[in-house]
Amino acid sequence: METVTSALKAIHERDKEIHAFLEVYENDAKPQTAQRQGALAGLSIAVKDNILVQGKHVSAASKTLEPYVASYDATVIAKLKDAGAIIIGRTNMDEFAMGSSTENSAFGPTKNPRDTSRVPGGSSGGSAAAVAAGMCDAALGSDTGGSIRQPAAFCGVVGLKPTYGAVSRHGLIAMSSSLDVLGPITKTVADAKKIFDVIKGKDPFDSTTLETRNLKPETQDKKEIRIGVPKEYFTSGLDPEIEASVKKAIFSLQASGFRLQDISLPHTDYALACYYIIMPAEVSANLARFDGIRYGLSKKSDDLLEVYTKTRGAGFGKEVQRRILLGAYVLSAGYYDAYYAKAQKVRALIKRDFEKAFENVDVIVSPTTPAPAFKFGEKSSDPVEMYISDIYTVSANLAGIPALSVPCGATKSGLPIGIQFMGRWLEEETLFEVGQKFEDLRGNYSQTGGCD
Amino acid sequence: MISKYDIEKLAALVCIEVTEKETENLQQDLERILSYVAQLDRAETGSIEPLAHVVGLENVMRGDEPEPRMDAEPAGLVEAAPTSRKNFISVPPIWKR
Repeated sequence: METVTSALKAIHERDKEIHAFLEVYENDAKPQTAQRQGALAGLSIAVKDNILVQGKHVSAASKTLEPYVASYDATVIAKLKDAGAIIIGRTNMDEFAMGSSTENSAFGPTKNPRDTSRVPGGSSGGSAAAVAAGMCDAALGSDTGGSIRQPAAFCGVVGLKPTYGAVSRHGLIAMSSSLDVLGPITKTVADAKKIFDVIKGKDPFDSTTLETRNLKPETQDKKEIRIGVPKEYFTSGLDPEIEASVKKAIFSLQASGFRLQDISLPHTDYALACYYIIMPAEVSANLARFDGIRYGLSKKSDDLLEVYTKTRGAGFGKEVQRRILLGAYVLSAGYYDAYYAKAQKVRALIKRDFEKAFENVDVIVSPTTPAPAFKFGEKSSDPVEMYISDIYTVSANLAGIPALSVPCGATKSGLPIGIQFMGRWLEEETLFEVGQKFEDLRGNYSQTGGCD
Repeated sequence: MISKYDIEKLAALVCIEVTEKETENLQQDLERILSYVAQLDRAETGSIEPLAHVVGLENVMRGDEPEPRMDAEPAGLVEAAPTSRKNFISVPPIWKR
């Protein structure tokens, strides 16, 4: 773990180039003010810019919210502070968490610390880059379709997307309410567990939260954890170097005593299309509140309707506008059954695939991303090309299960590769157990390059 | 197929002012995305019930007992609005004079 001093030093040295942070809280982040007690005492934690920290700006990397100041702490922030953590700053992201590269930030992209000609992934790209560059001990991100795991994989760090409802979203700027979840981005699996243990749990301010205390995983009394390998995740779209690295990792787990089993998740192919109907539908509803009246940016007009249209026209970036319009379209009379209702049925099938698979295995393993970090501009001209970077991560959100991305190697050119472990609902403990075991097998992941 | 007229209508519905050029781009992008998601047509959904909430949404009740009041308006909430007066958010007139 870094101390606050070394984190600040790394920020001063490198963040001009990387641009992981939108704002650093220098005055709050003095080591002498650090709490000495609590599970996270003295740890510096960076926070994605869609999570409210009382008295601080929170913009979701959008012009719409540029002037906005949070009037209360999100539940996760209150819990981190209680545990003694230091909130070191807010990190860059794709606007309103919509994107897979941070190129959609209204305040300029973040660069991947492993290769600055490439994106750090997204939407929690600033958080992942900050952890990878040693600018904080850990960070918080939000994951709607892969926004914690994909940037964690691209930057060579650990990312946990908890079970839907395991972590309170009170004080998170909502994107897609049936999918959004908050989670940690860290250097090690042990750190991810430590932070998850602090932020999880039922919250009276978020009625979708679940009771997580005293949950005993089904695997606890079993000697052997069974790992399922879904054939649908190892198909033609997968980069050969990633395939080789992930397979090597899987065989090392097998050699160390885990039992492997080939499984099938037959509706995997439909997951991304299903996601790109449900998510924009919810986006169009959630972003209706940004109207120039209550928050942030407001374009002046004598006419109220014009305040709305001008503010939303000027404040929202291209991808956000695209998704709001798409959402309105799939929900509109005449198209609702063909798109939205159909997608909800396919979502039920995807969830059922996992229920069936988890009858026979405890953990499902896959690559986190189909390809390593890409270059700036490479995918920004075609929205669907960009969406495909989430092809292996969206299913966990649609089903609501927890998923953990752990670095498992690097390409020949030194780009990090992530392996994803998915578990049963509320069985994060099993993921930590397997993730930790894998880290031990893998050896130390070098901060600058790959691993053996 | 999504028409230019559809985009203009959608933009009006979601209250987003778009230029002629933006309308064209949105038309192309939405066309591209809709043709991608159209693959869902092939999924056999039969009599499957649509899934709206993955872990089952339950009504959350609490005892009918007074609790320390959470500030309905935390300090700064109204001031954070673009224009406010005397702890109220002020807006332009709804009706034209």
